[in-house]
Amino acid sequence: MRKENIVTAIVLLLAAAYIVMQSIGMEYKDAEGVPGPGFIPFWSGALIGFLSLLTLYQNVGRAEVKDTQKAIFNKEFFQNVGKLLGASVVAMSLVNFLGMLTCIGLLTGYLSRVLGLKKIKVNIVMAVLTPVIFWLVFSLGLEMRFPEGPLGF
Amino acid sequence: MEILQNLLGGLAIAISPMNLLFCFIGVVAGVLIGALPGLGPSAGLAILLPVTFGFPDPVAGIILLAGIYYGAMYGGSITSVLIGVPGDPAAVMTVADGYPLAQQGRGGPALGICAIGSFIGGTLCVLAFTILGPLLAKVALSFGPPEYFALMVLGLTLVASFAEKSAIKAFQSAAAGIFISVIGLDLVTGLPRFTFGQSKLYEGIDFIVVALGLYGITEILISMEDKAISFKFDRKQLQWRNLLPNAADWAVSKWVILKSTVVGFLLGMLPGSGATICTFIAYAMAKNSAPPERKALFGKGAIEGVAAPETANNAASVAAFVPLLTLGVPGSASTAVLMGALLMFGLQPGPLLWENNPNFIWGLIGSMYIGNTMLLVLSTVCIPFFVRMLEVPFPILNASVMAFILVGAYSLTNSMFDVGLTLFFGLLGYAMKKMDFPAPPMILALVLGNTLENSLRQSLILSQGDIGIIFSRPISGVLITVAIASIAWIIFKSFRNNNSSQSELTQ
Repeated sequence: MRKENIVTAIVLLLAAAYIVMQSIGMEYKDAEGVPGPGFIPFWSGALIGFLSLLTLYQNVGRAEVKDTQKAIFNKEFFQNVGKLLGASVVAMSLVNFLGMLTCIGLLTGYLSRVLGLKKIKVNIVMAVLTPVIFWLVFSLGLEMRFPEGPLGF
Repeated sequence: MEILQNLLGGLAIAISPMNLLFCFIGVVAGVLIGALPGLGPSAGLAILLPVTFGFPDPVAGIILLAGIYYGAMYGGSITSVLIGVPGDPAAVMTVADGYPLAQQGRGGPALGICAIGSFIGGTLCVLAFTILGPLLAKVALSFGPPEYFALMVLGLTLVASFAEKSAIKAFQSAAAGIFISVIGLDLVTGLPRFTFGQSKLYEGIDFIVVALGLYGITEILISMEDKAISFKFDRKQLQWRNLLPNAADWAVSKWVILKSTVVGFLLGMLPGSGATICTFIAYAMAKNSAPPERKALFGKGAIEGVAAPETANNAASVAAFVPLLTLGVPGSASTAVLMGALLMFGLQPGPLLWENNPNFIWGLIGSMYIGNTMLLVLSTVCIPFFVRMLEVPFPILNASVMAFILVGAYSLTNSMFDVGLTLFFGLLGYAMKKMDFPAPPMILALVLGNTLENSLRQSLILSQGDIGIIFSRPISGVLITVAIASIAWIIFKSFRNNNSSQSELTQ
């Protein structure tokens, strides 16, 4: 994990530098010595930066230990992100056209399949039953309003 | 006498049909959530929190959430005992003796002692909370902004210090949480901070969005790495007649249960220690105090080795309410989520809550007595039902949980912006988990961030800009010194570990 630690520390160091720079532009302390809007961001950025330097010190120049662990950000990582988050992004971007409950139904049906349940009947039942349960709990029970699609739900 | 009257009033609130129903739902949901590997109490609370928004009475909401919390503490034991897979970190020690017992055909008594230990630990701690809570709240009334500031800094540093893998990463996680908490309009000057021109960020980032992403979505992504589709249990051990421990089991467990209750309560009250550490200490105590012939059984199927951690984690879950409700400072990620829930209900946790909303506090305490009794009944009579529920395939559970998360995020402000942020924090949480950055310090810092900033400002207004006020007052001075010492210790330790590992490599 040494390489990943170094990359993460550099990314966090850059983020910390940005936070500190931005917070300097805000008021650090007022005339009476009371912290202004820049005080807490400044110190949180400074702490992130200091700890990133500490991580770099611990990892840079250190002899490489034989690493038996597989790479962290591997193909599986991106596949999982694509399957779950990608599908969710697509479903949520369709909410204003198809309605929330329809999109939730399509998403759960799809997810139950790509997450490993290869039975089309069960996938369809999921796609139909989940929006019905959500309608009962959220719309009917808790009186929440969701965007509606052309079918009225 | 006043306490007794308040308690009776609280019990009357808790046994109203609606509150009993929510307590029941909370305990059942908590047991199932705790039993499912990955979905711990924090994730369960975050996922189900949006459901409580529509409740007309905040007492019902907190009763449901508290039921989930202590239900989940017990639930972790089911899979730990029956298949050797801990449902949450607090159930890890239960595997050590619970699973060997199940392999010997004694899974039933192991689950039975878990239920009895959880009931005794939980109930005795509620009793202690009933007596100590009002007293501590009165003491906390004397706390000023410097004491609160020091207490919150201490809470954050302890949570980071107790991190399992890297304390440096835990501190970074806490610092990032503080940073996220300042996003939005500054309450004093009205200046937008780190909003990137997005007006939707003016009100800041809701902690629920972060919790749903960091806990809910991340846990689904982690569980996707496991290719198993569902659990398979040996149901023969689970007939309810077999769940009762015999006289010999009870004889070796009774003192362990009482000692673990004390450990769970005392350590559970400390910010940052959490239920997991309590279980390790209770297990070690049980083992060390056992006679030689019993000591040899630990790790191979000693029933008191199951009783100790299960009692301690339920005791700790009740004890965690003490700092939350008396000081307004959560000590763990789960109580941070509960604090967020209280804030969403328009209630400010802390000593004034006891004076301003006694019905809420005593209704909650009353529900804890009832909830623990309910948990005992459910965890003996309904074990076969829970086991059947746990055999539902993971893809169905994960797909349903994801749908819940998305709808929950949307329902916060009826905005797709929050849904997008939740997905972003899900991705961030997954990367953090892979890189060993713990999420609890970030959640805790996010919940405490605004209060921390306000109490610092108030302290410096009091002292006309002199930061020495925090060090010069006795309580805040001690608290902040401990906090600074713990940070210094972490830095020293990381340098020492680095030097020793370097020398090992060069040898």
